[in-house]
Amino acid sequence: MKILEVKNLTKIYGNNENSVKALDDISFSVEKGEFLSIIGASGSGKSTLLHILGGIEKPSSGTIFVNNKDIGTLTDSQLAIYRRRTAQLIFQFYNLIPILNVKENILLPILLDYKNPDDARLKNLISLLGLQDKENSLPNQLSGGQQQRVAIGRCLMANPSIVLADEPTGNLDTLNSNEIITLLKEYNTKFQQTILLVTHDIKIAKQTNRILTLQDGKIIKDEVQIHE
Amino acid sequence: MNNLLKLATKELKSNKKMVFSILLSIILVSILINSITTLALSYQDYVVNLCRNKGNWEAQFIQIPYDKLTVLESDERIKEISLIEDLGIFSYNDNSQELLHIKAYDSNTMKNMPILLKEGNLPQSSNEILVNESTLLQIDDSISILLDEKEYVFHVTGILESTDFDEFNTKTFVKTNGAITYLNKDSLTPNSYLTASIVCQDISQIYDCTNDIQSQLNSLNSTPQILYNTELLSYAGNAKSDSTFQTNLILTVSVFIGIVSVASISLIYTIFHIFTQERKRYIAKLSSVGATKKQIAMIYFFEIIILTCIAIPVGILLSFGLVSLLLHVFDNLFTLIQSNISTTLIQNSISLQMVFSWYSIIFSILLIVIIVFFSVLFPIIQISKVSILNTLRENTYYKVTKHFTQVPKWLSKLFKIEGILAYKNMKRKKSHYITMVMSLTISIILFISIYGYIYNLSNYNQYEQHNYNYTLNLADYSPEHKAQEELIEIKKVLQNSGFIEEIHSYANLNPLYLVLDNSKLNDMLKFVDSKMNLLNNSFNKVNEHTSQLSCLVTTLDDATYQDYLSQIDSSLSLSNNECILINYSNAQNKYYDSVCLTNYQIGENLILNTQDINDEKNQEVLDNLSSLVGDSNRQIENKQISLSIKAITGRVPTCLPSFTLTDIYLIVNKDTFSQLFLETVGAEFSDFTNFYIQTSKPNELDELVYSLKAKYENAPIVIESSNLSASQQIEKNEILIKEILLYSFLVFIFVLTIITVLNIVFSSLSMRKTEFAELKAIGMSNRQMNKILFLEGLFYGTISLIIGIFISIGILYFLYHTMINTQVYRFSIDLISIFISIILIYAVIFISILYANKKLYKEDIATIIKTNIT
Repeated sequence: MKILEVKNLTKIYGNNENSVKALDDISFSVEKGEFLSIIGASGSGKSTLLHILGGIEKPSSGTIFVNNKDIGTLTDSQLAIYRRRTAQLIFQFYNLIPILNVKENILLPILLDYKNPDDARLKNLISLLGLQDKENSLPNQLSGGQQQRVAIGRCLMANPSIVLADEPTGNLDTLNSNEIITLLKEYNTKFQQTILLVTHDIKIAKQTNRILTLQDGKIIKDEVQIHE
Repeated sequence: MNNLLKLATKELKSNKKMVFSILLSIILVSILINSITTLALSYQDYVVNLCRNKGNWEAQFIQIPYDKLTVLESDERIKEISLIEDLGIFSYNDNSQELLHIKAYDSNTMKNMPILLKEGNLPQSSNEILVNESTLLQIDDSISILLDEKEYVFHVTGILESTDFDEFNTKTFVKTNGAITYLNKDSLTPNSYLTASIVCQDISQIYDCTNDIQSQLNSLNSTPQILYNTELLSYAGNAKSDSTFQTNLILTVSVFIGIVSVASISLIYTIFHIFTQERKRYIAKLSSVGATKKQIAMIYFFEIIILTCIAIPVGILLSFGLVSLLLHVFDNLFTLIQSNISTTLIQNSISLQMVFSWYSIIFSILLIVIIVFFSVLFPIIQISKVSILNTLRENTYYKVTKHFTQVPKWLSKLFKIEGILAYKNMKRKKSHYITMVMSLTISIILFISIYGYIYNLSNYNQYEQHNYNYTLNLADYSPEHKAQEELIEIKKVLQNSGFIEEIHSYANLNPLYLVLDNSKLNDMLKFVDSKMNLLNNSFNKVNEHTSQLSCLVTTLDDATYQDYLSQIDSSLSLSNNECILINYSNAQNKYYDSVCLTNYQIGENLILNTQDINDEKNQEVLDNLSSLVGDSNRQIENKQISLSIKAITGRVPTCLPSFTLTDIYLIVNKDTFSQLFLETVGAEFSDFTNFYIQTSKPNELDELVYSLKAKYENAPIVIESSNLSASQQIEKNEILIKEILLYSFLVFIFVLTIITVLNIVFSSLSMRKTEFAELKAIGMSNRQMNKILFLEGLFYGTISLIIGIFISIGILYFLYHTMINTQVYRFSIDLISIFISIILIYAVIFISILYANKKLYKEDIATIIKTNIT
């Protein structure tokens, strides 16, 4: 089942002589439960693509269907709900809310939805993330790896249709990077979570099911990885 | 050092917005502080000039022999000497009913003492004279008097409205009119006794000067009495005089300057703190290449010195402009009224002028420098100690500390995630939180305190105002009351004129005296003990256990009498020898508490004496006056009068002076009054002579009265009037001026608050741009973000209001105790001021948030996040 369909997506920055085409008429689709990585050199348009799919940036042209709904037609408040419930972003620099502790950061999308959190699910998730004794800690009391795990936890707690991870290991050492990727893989395998991962590291990309390669805003390669 | 200065200047040029904010703040502070000191000096100068207008003298030597005058004339400290010779009291033109009290003024006295010349010219020689208009003499008339068995003839050159030595003796019914002639020094002998009034070159030297002169005179066997113009000297701030005015002025100025200083430190600290924090990374980079803490601190000090050197002169010049403008407005306000003032009111012919001294300017500059220094000291110390690595790594402005506050459960339940975020945002940085709360709290305190003070002052003063604005005295002084028809005619004309809205009349007997045991004196005794400076002559402690009160037995005209009785009790009526005792100094009402005077009960008898216990002194005066009118051997006889108390009340009849603390009013019916009048005065009470009028056309009424005076000038009747409307208007204007000044001050403080709040909100939102973008990326909607900002504003406003209102009430109570007669005026709080302050504070906060929000959040989420990453 297609969870994501991108058609003729273009993003142009600036105008006239100073314009830059970050994405040039790209089209692709993603099935539910896929673990897709997007690789390319700096300036290839990877992050731009992710930001557009995450609803925090608008395309210049093209359509994006998520769960058969065109997100280009959504209003600002509908987009906010889309970001909260459908597509969750994980950033390179974690982007945790510094005044909220670990528990509050993880629960944030649920709280923004005015829902009562599932305490059992929260506990499991925190346990899975290895943050049992850090529940009440603030982000500035955590290491980089721990912070990224909180960011992932926030993402997964919301139970979105798609997780969009923009260089989640870009700021981490090898050990933590591996831990993060393992976590994502585990979630993908266990819960059929659809994940789109942007990375410049080919080794990380090879751990995913499918690799989309971008160059100068165009998809130059789309290959499926077969793992035993 | 030069390089640091160059760096400082470059930095200032590249941060124009922030520099402008700091400059504006220092300029505002300079304007406020210098305005306060300048206004205080100008006001003091104004009241001193008002006093001088009533009589330009600082000390008087009474009865100094002419030959000893050289002692004064040779003293270089004395700027001017004015001489008066009291020639004495004389009958004139064989007139037995009136006497003339003649004083001779020299040219300096003519200039310095107030002479209410109605028409004509001042006397230029010793045979010219000014007389009181009630003598009914005209210009060019002659007066002959006998002085030392010699006849002197004076030629009338001018008519006076009155003098301050006119007298009417209530025991002999003899009127003494003041008259002024010219003092011819050639006619003086060494034994001529004069009153010498002096003005010093420097008013602060008056006591030293007079003491020295007194010593010299004592050595010459001359001991004249010295009087001081205590009112003028105290207003001028002379240290040895009553310092109440000076103390109050300094206290008021200090309070305002204190408030401004605190508000200023808060404002400048906030702006400068934001200024330094925004450049933290820059400072970290400087440190990383080798700049020491001292060098970094010096850069900031240079920056602030440059800004201060520009802002202070600009601020001080602007403050002079502002004060001039304010005083010009006030002066025009006075001029508008002066055009309607009768000539008897002279006190407002003084213009308001701006006055400043170099001392006040230097004081202002020093104070501003100190304020700026204290405001920037802490941020500079902080910034110079910045850790290079932490700063360069840190990508958020706010560093959340370990001990972060928990959110109250009720708050998170009520306001949900937005409330949690708002509350935590508010508390995340202590210095910002304190500054914001303090700025708002100070504004609230100032607003409620000043507004409330004006409210209390207006209500206090309203009670002081009478419910009449014109008085008239109409009397037939002919021995057999032959002028009754003329009086009736005059009253008809006045009543038919259409100028009179209400008219009341009352008549008093001469004061009667009640000797009573102190146990009968109630609160009044305690009140008098505690407020000795408010004693009037009517209260007299005879001995440890006995006191004497003066009682005013009063009757009212029929209409006023009936109205008064019905106000107390609809069924009340007074029989003969019964009275209503007004036993409270003020009727209890919304604003005033009352002081209960005596413990008398209804049904008790009051035994009143016609003779004052101090009558021995009075006898001497009476003997002197009696001999002048050829009626010797008048004796004061004591009679006792008994009145039964029918009712006790605090209510005062419409026309009686409302504010009396130690006089006892006894209201009787007309029959009782007539009987008592006959017993005490020895004559029949004919009719009311004093009328208290409420008129909407006081000037027209004035003209009518003057025309009646002219018409009946040959009749044996007295027509005297007093137009109070102008003086009442002046009192109202004085309050208006105070209100304008205080409200102007409030506006400035409000502007300071807005700037502070705007700066804090702007910087806070600016620094949290990324954070808000992250929240939006997670799924927070615009509506939710606005709710967070709204709740932050609500929390700040509510906390500030609770603290501010609480402190304001305390300050109001303190002001009430120091500045208003608290014995009678009840403390009250104006709820409107509290309501307005609530609206204003929330308005300031929300408008600042809206404005900052609109300015800052134009970019999309991704751009903000990317900017943060790069």
